[in-house]
Amino acid sequence: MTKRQAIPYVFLTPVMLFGVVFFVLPIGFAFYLTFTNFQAFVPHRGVGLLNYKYLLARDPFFFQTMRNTAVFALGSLALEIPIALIVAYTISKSRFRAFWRSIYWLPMATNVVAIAFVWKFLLDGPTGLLNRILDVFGLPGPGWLTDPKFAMLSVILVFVWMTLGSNMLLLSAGMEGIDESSYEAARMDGANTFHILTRVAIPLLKPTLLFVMTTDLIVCLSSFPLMLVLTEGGPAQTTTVTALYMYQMAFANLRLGRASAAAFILFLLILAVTMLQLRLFRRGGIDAY
Amino acid sequence: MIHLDRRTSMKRLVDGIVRALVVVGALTATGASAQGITLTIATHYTDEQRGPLTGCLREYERLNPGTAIVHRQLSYRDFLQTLFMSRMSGKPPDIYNLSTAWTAQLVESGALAVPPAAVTDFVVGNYLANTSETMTANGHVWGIPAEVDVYMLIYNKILFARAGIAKPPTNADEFVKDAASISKSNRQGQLTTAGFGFGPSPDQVVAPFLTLLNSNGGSLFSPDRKSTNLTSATARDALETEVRLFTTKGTSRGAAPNQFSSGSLGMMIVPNWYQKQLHQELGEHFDETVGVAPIPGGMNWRTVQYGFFWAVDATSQHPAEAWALLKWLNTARTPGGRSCVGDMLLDLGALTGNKDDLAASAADIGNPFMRPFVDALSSGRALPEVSIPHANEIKDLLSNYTERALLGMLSPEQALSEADNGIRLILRESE
Repeated sequence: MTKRQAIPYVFLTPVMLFGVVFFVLPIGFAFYLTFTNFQAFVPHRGVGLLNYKYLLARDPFFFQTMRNTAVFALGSLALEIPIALIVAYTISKSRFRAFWRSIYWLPMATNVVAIAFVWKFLLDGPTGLLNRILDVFGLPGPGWLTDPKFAMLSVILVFVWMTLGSNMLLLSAGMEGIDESSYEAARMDGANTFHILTRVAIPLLKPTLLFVMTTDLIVCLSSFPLMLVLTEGGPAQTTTVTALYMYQMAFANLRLGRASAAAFILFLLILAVTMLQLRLFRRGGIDAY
Repeated sequence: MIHLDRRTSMKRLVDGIVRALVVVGALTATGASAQGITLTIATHYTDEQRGPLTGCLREYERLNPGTAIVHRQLSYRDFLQTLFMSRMSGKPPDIYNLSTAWTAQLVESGALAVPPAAVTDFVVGNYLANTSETMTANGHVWGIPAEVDVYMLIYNKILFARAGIAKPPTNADEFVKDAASISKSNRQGQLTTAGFGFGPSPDQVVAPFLTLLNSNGGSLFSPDRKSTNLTSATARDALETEVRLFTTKGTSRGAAPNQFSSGSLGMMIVPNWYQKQLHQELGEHFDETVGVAPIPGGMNWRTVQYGFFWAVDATSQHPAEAWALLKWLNTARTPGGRSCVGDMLLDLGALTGNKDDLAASAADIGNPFMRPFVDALSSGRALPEVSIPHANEIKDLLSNYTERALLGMLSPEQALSEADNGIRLILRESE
């Protein structure tokens, strides 16, 4: 290697070192832990694939948490993308766009713990504002956070509210990139607003939609702070997603080997779903994205 | 010539560095001996809660020049995790205030220092036996008992009177019936007043079940602690009583003890330290509102007792000084008076197994609220929580299955059977 060829690597060394120390080594160590019975206060030993076997065959809660994770991720995506799209489109056609975008983006500037506490009060069974409003109209009000049938739905709705701003902002940016002449041509051909949104805006937004859906899915599959504060995973673990279960396994029950194995299973799941998503969405001429 | 100069300069530089290091080393050594030692104490108490103790720690520093004491507050929920991390990093605290439920796990892992004989004698001679037993393992008493708490039934006298109920329930049927009589729903079906409240933490979900189980003559673990008694009829009866509270609308998942002071909760099974919180929230209405009664488990009712103890880390550099400090903190400061720890605990509304502190606290523990708790503790009706490896995990698992039964997701038999399977798996690991 000549001196000239070596120079870029010299400049890259600090970044690569940082990556090795704070990314590669921890991941490598975590992977090593998955093959041990590493738990606090007890000398650890190698256990082969026992942690994986336990999680996949004996753990009484692991598959339930996987199911909860899938429900949370799919439920959140199914709601947040269409809502963000409609809001972004409406704002792009309105006056004072910057003002509306700021308003919708505001929850993103708020800490998830604060958001969870505010919603805890709003969704409280007998005294929460939501049930009080429903009561005014003579409608029944469930225990949004305490009824097993409604708890996950409540968490999804709060999550959608919390992340709407960021999705709306990304989709707005995508819409700004669409040439106005495309809309004009559609209008001249007699398209109404709905047609323009579904036949012009959405197809041209595919790259942005792919990005939003992929990043949102990854966030949904690995997110747990909202559940931790809002419901603590309850009632009866109906809102315990795998990431939260993993956190409890590692930091409440101090089973670091098993929790690491759960983390790698979750990682493989996220990887598989993301690859599938990319494959499906790249069909139709956006390979270049 | 130039080389010679360089060599001379280099030699002078090395000489200078060596001399500087020697001087710095000497100064550091002198400084260290002048600074003395620092003892670190880790507890879950907040600044406000440990107020009386902090004053004593400063006094101890004045009485023992050269000893500095630092307090590190750890949240109760993250206590073991933080303790583990600090041990991994090689900087653990010298002294811990630990839950007795963790004794077995910490002893097994060699995390705790064996107390000197003088400390063991001090504990054996000065503490109620049922408080020191919980921190005894492998033939050693592993520290000095600290806070002790007992669960009892606390009820709202006003709500009982309004419902036309003359006295608190004494058995399971009365318990369920009274809870249903006190409860009130709004038109949406939500309980605005609940007859009974529990949770939301795993401890508070499990404790009422355990008090009913103990009252039925049962116990969570078999005597050899290798299996559970959860599939027994006594366990099923205890859980069915709780399920009936739900099916008769005597409670709901949202009814929690923190609603007691607002007048929307008729009963709760909680520990004695609720006294301070209720006093603060109810003020002058405390006496007319709050009543304490035995666990509604019949004539042979039993309850659950849990506690904390002071221990020294096995790797502490100053174990002798740490034990000396602990003994001083737990010894009456004046004849007939209370110890520093006793002052803190009584101020918290907690109990103690320290006989001197109990004797010196007649006024604090003789009031109508505390008396039943003290009686339960001293009469042996309060059964100590069993110390077992993975105690937190076992409690979480039991709480999860209990909740499934209470919410109608599993039958009591199914829930208890599943919990039994899960706990057996954990217990088998320790064999």
